[in-house]
Amino acid sequence: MRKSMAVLAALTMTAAGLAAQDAPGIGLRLAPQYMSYSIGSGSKVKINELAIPVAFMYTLNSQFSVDVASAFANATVDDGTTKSTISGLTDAQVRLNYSAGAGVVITAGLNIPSGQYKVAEDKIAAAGEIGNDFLAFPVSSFGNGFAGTGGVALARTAGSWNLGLGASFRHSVEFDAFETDNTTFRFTPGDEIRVRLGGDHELSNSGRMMVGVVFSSFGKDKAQETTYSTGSRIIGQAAFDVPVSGHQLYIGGWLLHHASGERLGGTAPAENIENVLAALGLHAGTLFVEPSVELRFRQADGADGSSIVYGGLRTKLNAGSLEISPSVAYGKGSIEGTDISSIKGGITIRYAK
Amino acid sequence: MRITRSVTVLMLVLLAVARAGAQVTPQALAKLEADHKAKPGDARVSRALGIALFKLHRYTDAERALTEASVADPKDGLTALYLGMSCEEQNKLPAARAAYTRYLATGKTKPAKDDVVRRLAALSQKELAVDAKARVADEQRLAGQPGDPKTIAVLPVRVTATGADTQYVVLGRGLADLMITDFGKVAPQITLLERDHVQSILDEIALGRTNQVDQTTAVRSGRLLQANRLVTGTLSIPNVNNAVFATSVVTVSTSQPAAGGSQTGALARIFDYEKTVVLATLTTLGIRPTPEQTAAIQGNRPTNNLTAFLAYSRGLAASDAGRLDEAAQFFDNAHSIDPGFAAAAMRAANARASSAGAGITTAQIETKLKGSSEGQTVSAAEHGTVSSQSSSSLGTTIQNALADVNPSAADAIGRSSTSASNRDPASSTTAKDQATVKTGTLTIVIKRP
Repeated sequence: MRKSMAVLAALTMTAAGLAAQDAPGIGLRLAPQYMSYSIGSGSKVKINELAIPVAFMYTLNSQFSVDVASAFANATVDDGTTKSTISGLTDAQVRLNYSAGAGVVITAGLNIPSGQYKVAEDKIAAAGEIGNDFLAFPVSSFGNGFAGTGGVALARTAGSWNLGLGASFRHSVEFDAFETDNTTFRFTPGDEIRVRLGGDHELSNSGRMMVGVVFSSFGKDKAQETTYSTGSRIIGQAAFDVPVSGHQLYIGGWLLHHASGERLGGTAPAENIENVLAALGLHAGTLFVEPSVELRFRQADGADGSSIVYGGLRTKLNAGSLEISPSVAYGKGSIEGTDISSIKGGITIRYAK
Repeated sequence: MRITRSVTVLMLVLLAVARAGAQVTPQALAKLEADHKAKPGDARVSRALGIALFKLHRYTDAERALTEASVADPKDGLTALYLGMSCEEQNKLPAARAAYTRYLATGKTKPAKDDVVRRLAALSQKELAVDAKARVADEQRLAGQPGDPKTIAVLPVRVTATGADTQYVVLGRGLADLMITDFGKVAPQITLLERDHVQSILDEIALGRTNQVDQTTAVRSGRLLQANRLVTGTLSIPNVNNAVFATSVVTVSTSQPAAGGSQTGALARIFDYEKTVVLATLTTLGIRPTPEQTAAIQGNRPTNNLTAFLAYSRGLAASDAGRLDEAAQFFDNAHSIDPGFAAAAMRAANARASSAGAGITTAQIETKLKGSSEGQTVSAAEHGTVSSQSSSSLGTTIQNALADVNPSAADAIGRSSTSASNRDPASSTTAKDQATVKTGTLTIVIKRP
């Protein structure tokens, strides 16, 4: 852990050092976040994650931009009798975007396996449960192996709408996922094709709305010698950002549909997860406060429904080129008939020069 | 007394703090200038530099940078707004008007747009006054320059009355307004100068106050307006049952008048006489209206109520004198007397907008941007940073598409909303992402070769 923190600190320092130079188009984002869930009453299962994602963006010129992002994360699952903890760096994503003309961007990305591999048995629960789509942890994976993505995004104006279309292909190579009893569990994620169609539109009251749908189709995942046909995913998104009497109202939501597929031990049922967030950004002079309400639901074949409601508060401070945005939220609900409560908080720090 | 003093001190401190907060530092400006030098054709950099220069009251330099930004990205509303404000601060009113109008079409912040609408109404008055001053200053040159043959100016009607009937003297402005509307029905055979334009020249040469324009001064105003011919009118009211309304057409180059039309009768029938006189005047002007045009002139009856028309004319007089709130009240009065008098309602709304706009400063318009996306761009410029927001927002559209087809942790950082998680293939395929599964066993089957 100490080593990982040192590497992350070095990355941050490098980015900050570069950012301190008087070159245009440099950005740095740092967002420490803590999220905790308590499931059940009495002997509770506790799942928590401390994540410190950091991203560095550099615009070379009007055509090329590159960003590098990684995170340090610490995840723990404690069911009262056993405690599983994993911590360290996650994979790093390097992304290069090339603007090939008005409204055309070609993108290429690499997933560098700087994260946690050969995860030991006592760490598997912590490494796995942060990937739960309903719990929506800020860092959902400690390592996915080396992968390359190529894609293109197009944007055009159609009347009062801006329409965007994107498509990509991702290929991953085999990696050592787990290690139990000195045996390494090899895993190869299936190739992925993603298509995204979206649009945004200026509203008459100076607000803005955005809609989008992302379809992901996966090839067969290979776990050791066995292949599994995982279900496709569709994500629908919509957001409204409108001024209200000098303040800003945001209402946004997404719906994730995961089609039925295969997984180790049987069938992965189809599931839907919906999330809606309403936030009102209140401006009072230089003070900014944003109370919010967030609701999330899950329905899955053969399982009770799950839901959680968060009440949150965020503020924003500016100090020179730094924008600091702390936030806290508390949530309560149920997961497949069991009580669940959650606390999350974080500070987002953005630097732009 | 002590409270008043404390409040005053507090307000002064707040004002000082507010001014200090809006200050663009030399470092911020130097950075934007360096960026501008590095990217001379970049609309966003030029916009940021222009905004910073405007904040520093360097309006000429701001105009130059913002013009560059406007050429590079004509659809950027914020550029148009700051260009308009920079031009207005330099009294370049037509350019300011053009830029403000562009902001109304492309701007994004409704409160600022509302202020710009009011400001535009007030700008019209200011623009006319500035134009009139410029014309008077340039009178020598304009006097030697023939006006456009098609251009006609209708001057306020000279009204003579005695005793209680002097209340009708103000009808001269209303009748001129009515005639201009009627002459407008034969466009494009003639180019009519707007009443406010004519009035601003008359005000400038200090003739408009009494509205009693003699032929010599009328011709002078015609030269200043670059009109080829003038339509002048007289309304004599010895008594309300015996009024005489007559017009003349004066050729500006020769100062020669020619009789237009004339009608005599009860003042209550002034709206009928006006139509007869206008049609006769058109004949003098050498224009033969089509039957449709004649019908349009005959049918143009904004009101048939003399009391309402009198209130309307008083509103015009108050408006010409710059008493806009009073003018609005007169127009409202006219509209309440004759609810069908749409022109009065329109004039009332315009007078109110002009009155509201006259009190709106560029600083006030800027405050309306706060909290908006455009305000964020301004704030970034104050700090020497170039905002990535562009007019078309195609940048946002394409970023959204990129973040979904080639996701990176960089996209999620800073989002206030929760995003749908990216699939973790290993944990989902091995069912290790199930939060309610408290214990599990992973069995690895290794096949014998």
